[in-house]
Amino acid sequence: MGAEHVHGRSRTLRKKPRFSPRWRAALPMIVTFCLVWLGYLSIVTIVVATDPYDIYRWGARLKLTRNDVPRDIVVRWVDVVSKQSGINTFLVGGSTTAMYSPDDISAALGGNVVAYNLSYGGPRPMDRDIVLDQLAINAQAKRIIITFDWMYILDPEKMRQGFPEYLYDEEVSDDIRMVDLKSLRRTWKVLLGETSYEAQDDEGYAKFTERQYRSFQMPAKMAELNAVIEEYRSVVDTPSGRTCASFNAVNEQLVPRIRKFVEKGVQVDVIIPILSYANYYFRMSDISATLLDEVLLSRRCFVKSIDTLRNVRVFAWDDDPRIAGDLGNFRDPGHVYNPELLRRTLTSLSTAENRLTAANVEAYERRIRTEVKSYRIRNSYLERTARK
Amino acid sequence: MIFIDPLFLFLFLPVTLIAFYLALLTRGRNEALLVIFTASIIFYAPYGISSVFLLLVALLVNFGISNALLAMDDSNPQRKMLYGCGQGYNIASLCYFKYKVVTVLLGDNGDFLTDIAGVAIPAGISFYTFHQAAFLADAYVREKSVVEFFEGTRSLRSGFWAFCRYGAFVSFFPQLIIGPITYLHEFHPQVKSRKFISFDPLNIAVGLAFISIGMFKKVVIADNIAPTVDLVFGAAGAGAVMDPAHAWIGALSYMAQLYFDFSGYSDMALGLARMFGLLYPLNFYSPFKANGILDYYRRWNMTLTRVIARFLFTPLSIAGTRYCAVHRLSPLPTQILSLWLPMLINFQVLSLWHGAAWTFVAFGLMQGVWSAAEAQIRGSKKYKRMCKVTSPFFRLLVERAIFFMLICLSLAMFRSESVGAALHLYAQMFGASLDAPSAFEMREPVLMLFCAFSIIYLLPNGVELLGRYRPAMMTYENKSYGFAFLRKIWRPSWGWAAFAAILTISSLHYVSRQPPFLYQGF
Repeated sequence: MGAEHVHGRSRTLRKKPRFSPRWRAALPMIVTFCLVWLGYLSIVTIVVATDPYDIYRWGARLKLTRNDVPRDIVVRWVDVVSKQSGINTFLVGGSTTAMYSPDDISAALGGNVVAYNLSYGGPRPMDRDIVLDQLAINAQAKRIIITFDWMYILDPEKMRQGFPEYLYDEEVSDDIRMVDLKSLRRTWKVLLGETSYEAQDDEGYAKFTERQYRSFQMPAKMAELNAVIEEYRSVVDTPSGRTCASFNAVNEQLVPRIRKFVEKGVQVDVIIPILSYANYYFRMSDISATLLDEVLLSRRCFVKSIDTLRNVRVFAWDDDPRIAGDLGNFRDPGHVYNPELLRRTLTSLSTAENRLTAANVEAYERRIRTEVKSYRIRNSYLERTARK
Repeated sequence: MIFIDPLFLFLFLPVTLIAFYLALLTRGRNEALLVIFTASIIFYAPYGISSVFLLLVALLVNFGISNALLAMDDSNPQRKMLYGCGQGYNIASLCYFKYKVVTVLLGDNGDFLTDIAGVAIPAGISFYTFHQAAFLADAYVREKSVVEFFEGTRSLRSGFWAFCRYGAFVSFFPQLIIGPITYLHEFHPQVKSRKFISFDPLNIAVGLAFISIGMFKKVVIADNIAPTVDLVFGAAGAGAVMDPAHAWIGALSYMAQLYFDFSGYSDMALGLARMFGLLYPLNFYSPFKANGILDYYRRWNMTLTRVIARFLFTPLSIAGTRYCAVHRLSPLPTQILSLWLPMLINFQVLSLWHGAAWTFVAFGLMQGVWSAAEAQIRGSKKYKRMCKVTSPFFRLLVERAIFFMLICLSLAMFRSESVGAALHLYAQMFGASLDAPSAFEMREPVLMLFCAFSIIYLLPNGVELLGRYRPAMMTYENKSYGFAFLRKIWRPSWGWAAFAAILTISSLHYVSRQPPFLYQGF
């Protein structure tokens, strides 16, 4: 017994621990991070191999079967959409045109139009240019509808926050940045065989805009806007000192891009989104103190620079005070809500009404300037509800 | 590459670490440092071939001149001239490539001189130039580590290895772009020690903890605050009106963004260096817990402060004091020459180091006047008498409140697009447009600010948290504030590992956006 005990003790003494104390101490961190490292690289491999945004040759050939607007991921969706051979009309816009479904566009334009809406909130010149570039590379478009937003007064290098430019550049190594929860969800769906995309946010979007409209159509909101208008009325028309040459995003990005589309035989329609007259006062605080002058000047410069191009048309409606002066049409000062008005603006593209040309752009500009300067708030919705 | 790039974290770093430890354990120090040097050049390459070329030339020039300075006799009159040439090269390259002096002076008439200067400002040029300038100064005074470093570098082979060691010291990627600016006597003894040639798994654990904390600070906190900052400062730049609440939210958001951006970088730099078995000097230590501007600069970009203080403030102040003593000047001119003037110059240089802009000139002036005034007040009899009769806690609160207000205003100047935009923002902050419309929803930015400042004031910083494992060299002796029981609580346990993993995974959620660190622009 005793000998066994001694023998056993000596064996215990000789036995070396598997890891040194420093290794033992560090093990939890090292093991955990090895798992994170392995997990992440595995996920990257799966996502890249699946290619849920169709950016590679082996990309998941996704089908667009529903009358959807993929508002949640449209900025990552440009290649998927532009590679669909059946689509011949693209709407490239911002939040002012995000409400149109492909069917709305097809119905308004008539004929054999198969349309898709690539509008997303808060576009900036650089990302707009990337979207148009991807369309030029991949799409078999016959018509492209572009919105000429106020953002064209900005620097051409400005990019929308969160725009995935890494998906559309030549550099492959930065594609790893696409691996996030959104991509994982898309990859998972593709792996499960769901190759047709369903945004399922149309209902939510409709509710969102309706809620916005209801909360905007309040006497208190109008009083607030009225106070802003009265305070800045004397300075709203202050000259910006800018000239046509200073709109680099127009001169260096949009106009050359349109020219290329035209050379390829694509019809280009440019929509000038309807901004309320109150918007020029309201957005002075976060865009520019000379917003009115810059926006109108950029429009004039743009129209004149593309006026000689065939197959390019510009449409505008906001020189009519019944449209842009009536806040009952809007869900906020910069976004139209009135469904009838929204339909009419699209239909104008087929009836060719409300065209803006070099011949009438100055008169158009003068009208808006005058209307904005003398603007008194009008709201047909509140008037109607008050009468009831 | 930047630290938050998944390519860096998941490929470059593991590969470099494996190559480094393989070289270290199978070949030796020199080979391991060669791995570091090569990896650092690869890390730097995406910033442009011209930037890499400029870095290599700067390394060769400073290395060559330092070697020559040590070889020359002190009595050699050409030694001083050579030193001047070396420092002249450093200053000239900064002026040429960063401040574009040639472009400013010659305009379009400078032909190829202007063309070369027209390239983008090489990343990290301010940091590695100051790094090497300090090294050159140490070589000139024959600092012990520098002498040791160059010992036995007479043959081509030993010269090559010495250059690799020097290259690793200057261009080591954790500190190449944004510092800390290190002295050789902080780096060389570590590399020379026996500890360096062994693999300590705890270094990896501590490094990973720092990286996860730093990445969270940058990617989750700073980058989520950034949109508010861009909105408010963009609007101020455009001369737009805004109500005081929005203007203040913008200014405070920038404070928080800059804090977490730089703090995140500093933590990641310490962590990365630690994974290679190296301790680096502390560069960031809860600066908003400072009780005044003088304390602030002992906590913010500390290694830059000490380099500028060493080469500029101290010599100027000593020269001023001597001049006054020799000429027996009265107290007022003595104060001006020994304190105010050196302070103003010191902060002007410190500020212009960030770039050539009038906002930086104004910022430097504000900081200089404030520092000199604070030094004057703290040295006065009245202040000392007041210290005797007031409670330290009360004094800390008052001093911190004054400091907070002034640093908020001066950082608004630092961030603004122009001096006019900063003045416009000040006007909005102090109620010039009380009825201005709401530029953005305030709930989320205010919530973000609340979280950010709670972390700043209530939680320990990374170095305090990991204090048990000596995470960094102390650059200055700084007082710790806040809850003592929260300090030194980190251990590489499963719980903390899970916490670090959560921080990392939360950061990876935002991986699609890769805004550079703010200090990368300087």
